[in-house]
Amino acid sequence: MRGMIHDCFVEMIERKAIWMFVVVTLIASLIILATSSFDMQLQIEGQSDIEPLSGIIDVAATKGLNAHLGFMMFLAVLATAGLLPNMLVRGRAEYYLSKPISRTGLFLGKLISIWLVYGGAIVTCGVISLALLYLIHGYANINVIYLFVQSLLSFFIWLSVTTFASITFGSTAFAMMSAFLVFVLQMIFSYHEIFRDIVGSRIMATVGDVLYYIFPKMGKISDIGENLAMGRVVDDWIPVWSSVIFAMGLIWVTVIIFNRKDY
Amino acid sequence: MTVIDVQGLTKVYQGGLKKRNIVALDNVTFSIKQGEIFGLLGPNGAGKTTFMKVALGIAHASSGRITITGKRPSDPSSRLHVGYLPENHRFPQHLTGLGLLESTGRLYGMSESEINVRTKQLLPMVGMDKWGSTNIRKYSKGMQQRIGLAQAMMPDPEVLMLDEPTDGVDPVGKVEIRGVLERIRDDGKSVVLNSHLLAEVESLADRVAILSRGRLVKISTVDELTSRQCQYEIKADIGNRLVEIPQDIGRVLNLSSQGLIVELVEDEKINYVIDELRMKKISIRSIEPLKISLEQSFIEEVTLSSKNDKGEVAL
Repeated sequence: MRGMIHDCFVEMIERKAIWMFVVVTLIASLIILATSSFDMQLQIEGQSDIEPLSGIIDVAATKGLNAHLGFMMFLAVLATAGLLPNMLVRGRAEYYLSKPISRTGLFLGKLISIWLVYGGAIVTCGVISLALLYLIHGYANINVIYLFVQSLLSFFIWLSVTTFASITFGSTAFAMMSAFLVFVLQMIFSYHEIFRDIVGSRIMATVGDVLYYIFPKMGKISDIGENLAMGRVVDDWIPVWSSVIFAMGLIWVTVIIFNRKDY
Repeated sequence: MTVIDVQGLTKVYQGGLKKRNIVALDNVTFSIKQGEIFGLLGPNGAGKTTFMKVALGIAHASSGRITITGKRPSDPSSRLHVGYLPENHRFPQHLTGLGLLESTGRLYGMSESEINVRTKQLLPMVGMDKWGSTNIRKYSKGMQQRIGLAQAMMPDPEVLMLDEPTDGVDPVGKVEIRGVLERIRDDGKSVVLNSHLLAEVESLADRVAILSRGRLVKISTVDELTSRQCQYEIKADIGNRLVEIPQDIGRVLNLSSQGLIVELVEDEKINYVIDELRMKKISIRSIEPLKISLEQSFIEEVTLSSKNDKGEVAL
């Protein structure tokens, strides 16, 4: 496991993927620095009388941080989509598979390594933005930890999708397309209640409901994380549990396929 | 002691829609002993690489049984003491030569101190001590083979499986690799060598197996394969004398003033030929079984196998 984490970290540095995170964090930092006069502006325009100034900044900072982490997670999904197909190309698969590690161990080791290394990069960059928000705007909210947890969880769910496509089709393009497909489908299925009202067929309505519950609900998970970060109460946890079950199920199927394949 | 035992091993690659199945290994049975260099010979597509992949669990056997040091390929610990150099390898390009060895050591579960000791031994052994910190993508083909051999030897394996180890290596490098393999054999370890360079296999291997179209055509020692049965080359001062032998003893294939080549009905009949030459007061300098190259023997065996296959089809 330590070898795989080390290997994954070196690969991230060598493939220059780390710069992607650095650039995005730099842009986020510049935006935070550019808003250093924001509170003063609000006071001049008299908006601080409508709502407490710190409240507006807290909401903006929380949403901004969530967007930053979400974008970094999106980049991490793209950056990691090719790692497994790259590891299993002809001539390299033999190198890894001839080692005294079970295929299940190899797959899970790689999956966890990618999650830890790239997830670590997301968290590190997020912490830099958070530190700047604290220094510039005095933003201090312990609940932002939910945003980090939500980002790592979402990244893990996306990884289950891309690794499934990587093992099944052995292609980076398929891995990326599958992530995009799931993204589009989960958006469509999120309108299942409207769909139920529109279609006359009860069977079709049920199919729509079932697919909604089966597919991961990344948008809703992001909303849950943001609500928790802003101290709001969350009533519906189904998006989290169903998405986690989806990811676990997909990983289980991927392990079965990987164990049966010839290289 | 047997380190690799193969019993009725068959591997069929499923062709999928509109493609026929490919029989890569067809009921192959043999064993490899400890401390021997075992050569795998065969034309392209004979199943040599597939055999190595099945032995290491990279591909799954369709039927039959194979064990390495008594363990099945499905058991990851069967690969704990096995090193493998794949053909046309593409090691992770983001690593340096040293990084590859360290990464390999970690995949074998070696401690950092063990890895340090082993890398310091192996880099000079394969002539790569000056290039350890260079990225693999900058290596020439020969250098990649050398570092590939080093990674295969990283766990100090009991069995070393090498698929075309000298492919792209310069002549000096080939001699060095040959020396390394001989040292490994002398240490009581086994080497399975898959190479198209028959001269290389002939000079190194103790035994060879010839595969053709997935079938085991022949398995024997190199000496047996390169020796012509019942044919002898006799070096003697014949001059212009005539030497004849009766048909029930054999026949003279070639006669010159310096000697003769005879084909006998059985090996024991050589004594008759010796007596005959002595009676004619011809001095004998040497008698040796007639040798052919491994390449010639290989071509004969594969051609014979192809003819037999065609015969079976005709029947």
